[in-house]
Amino acid sequence: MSERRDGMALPRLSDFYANLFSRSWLLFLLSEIIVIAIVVTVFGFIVGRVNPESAFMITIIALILIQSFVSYMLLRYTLKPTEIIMRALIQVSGEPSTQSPPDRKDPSFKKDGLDHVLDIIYAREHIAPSETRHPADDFRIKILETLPIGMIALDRDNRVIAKNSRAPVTVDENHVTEIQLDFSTVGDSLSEWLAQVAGNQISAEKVWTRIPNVAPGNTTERRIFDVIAHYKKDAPTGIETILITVDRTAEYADEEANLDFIALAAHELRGPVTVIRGYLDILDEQLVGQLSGEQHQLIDRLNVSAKRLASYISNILNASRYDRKHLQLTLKETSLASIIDDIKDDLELRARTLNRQIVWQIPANLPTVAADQSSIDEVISNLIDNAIKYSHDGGNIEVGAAIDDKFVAISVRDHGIGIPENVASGLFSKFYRSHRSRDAISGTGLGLYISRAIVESHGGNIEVESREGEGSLFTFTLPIYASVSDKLAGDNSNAQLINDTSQNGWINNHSRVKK
Amino acid sequence: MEQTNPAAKRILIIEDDHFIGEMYGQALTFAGFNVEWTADGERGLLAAQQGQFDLILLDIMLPGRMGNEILHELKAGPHPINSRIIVTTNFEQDKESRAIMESLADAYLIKADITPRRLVEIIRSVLST
Repeated sequence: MSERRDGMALPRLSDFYANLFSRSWLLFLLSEIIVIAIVVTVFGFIVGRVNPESAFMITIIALILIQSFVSYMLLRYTLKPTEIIMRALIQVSGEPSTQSPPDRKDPSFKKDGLDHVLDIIYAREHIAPSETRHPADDFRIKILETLPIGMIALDRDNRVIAKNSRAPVTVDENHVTEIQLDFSTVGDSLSEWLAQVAGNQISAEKVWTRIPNVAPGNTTERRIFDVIAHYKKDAPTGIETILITVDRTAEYADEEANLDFIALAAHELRGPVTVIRGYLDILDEQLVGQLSGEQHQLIDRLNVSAKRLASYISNILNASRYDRKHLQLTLKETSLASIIDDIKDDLELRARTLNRQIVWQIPANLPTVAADQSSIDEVISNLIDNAIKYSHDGGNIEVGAAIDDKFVAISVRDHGIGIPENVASGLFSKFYRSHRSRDAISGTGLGLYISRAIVESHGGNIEVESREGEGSLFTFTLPIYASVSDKLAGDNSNAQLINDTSQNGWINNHSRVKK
Repeated sequence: MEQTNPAAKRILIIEDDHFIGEMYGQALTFAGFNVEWTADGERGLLAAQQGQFDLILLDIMLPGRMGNEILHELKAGPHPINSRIIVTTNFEQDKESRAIMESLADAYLIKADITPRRLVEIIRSVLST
């Protein structure tokens, strides 16, 4: 009983029989005393006063004592089975007690059916050795282990407090748990997101796709997960964040293989192109002064074609990269003039071969831009290539530049066939080529697609104005270096720049769907 | 493809595509360098370690030993060599692998995107620094 006084502790099993017995016995005794009192009173009235008084009192007391003893013995006998059951229960429950367990050899147990009751009590012990776990808990655990997904529960300090066996989490010998996911491939990490939501949100959800696990040095064992994070502030369960990981290695494997195929195919294609370009270059050098004008023109055409072939291969490679995730570029401070210097000769040769003229109108005093030079080379080459392709014989192509707010806008204008308004919007899609030119002019249809990807990966944008029959004006912007220098991460990566360009819905949408 | 001009800079080409190897050999010889060429990665590594070349043109996809391993051995191994190294490849690597090679080599070039004359210019500029 002592443990019940504080109102918190559970009643002990060993107290149960003692309480039952004393309560029953007190009731027995009380009823006996009432009966005796009534009998004595009635007897007194009928017989009259009895002498001596003391002898009468002694008789009454003796009666009460005898009755008490008899009722005590009777009660013990009737409550005996309860006592045995309670002793068995005490033993099974493991509660510490001085009472001995029931003697199963007692023949009376069999007679009054107590044996069967004890059988049930002791059998129960073997079914559930741990009496504290509810059967439903077992079932829930089985479900979590059977599900084809990983689950990781994190507490307020982002420590792993629970996980199932499919979760990419390691536990070392010191019981330190670590989530084995490489968020660096998507730019923003789990901890960054958690820090951000913990400050200002009650609940939040985020999905990361294509997160590889951390498999240092061994990429063949690498697995790819989609990760869903659910955050709930001050959850009563103590679980603030739940991560669900879905192993998508098999689904992504096809795309990975595809990419490898493209990289290998590009490698094979580039070999012969290198040789063709190389020997043309050597021939050109060795035959200086020996070729007629017409022969020189043929060599030029071969040169230009080989060079174009090389850029197509680069375009295909870049486009396949871009389908996977946004381009990761290294942006450096550079001037537009130096970018153009690099490609000027090649482009002019290309224009000349097809009897076009490039007119450079780049102001000398432009601020420096943040750019990945070889990628921007590709954008300008693609735009000028298009202008050459779609302009008329003898036409001019004007390349200009101007400051546009925090950007430098570079424009390429031709006076060629132009683009009908209704098809201009699809111009930057993959494999898109203007309906009219499809048969007449060669190309992969990847040039503008990859150009847009590159420009938007710089945080700029690209657009076209065109009038059918009058020509087209393509304009793209590059950030002025001074305006973004603080946003370029330590490695000059463009990650921060892309996150900031939310107005460019295309790139965000794109990376969400296809990344 | 050995030249005897003792004053000329010595260049080792490790390149398994015979057309490209020969073509670079011709162009560099024409430009006045002493050139040696091997098409095997393992032999290329040995030659690079023992030959005291001024500059090495190193392909990546090679039989015997991959170019990235060779580069690592030559520049970050136990006995780094002083030769300048230009990686010349047509294999497009992922950004991380490329960054590692760029940090170890003096230049990283896609062969299909450069002409031999441009290569000579780059070699001259690397050797002059």
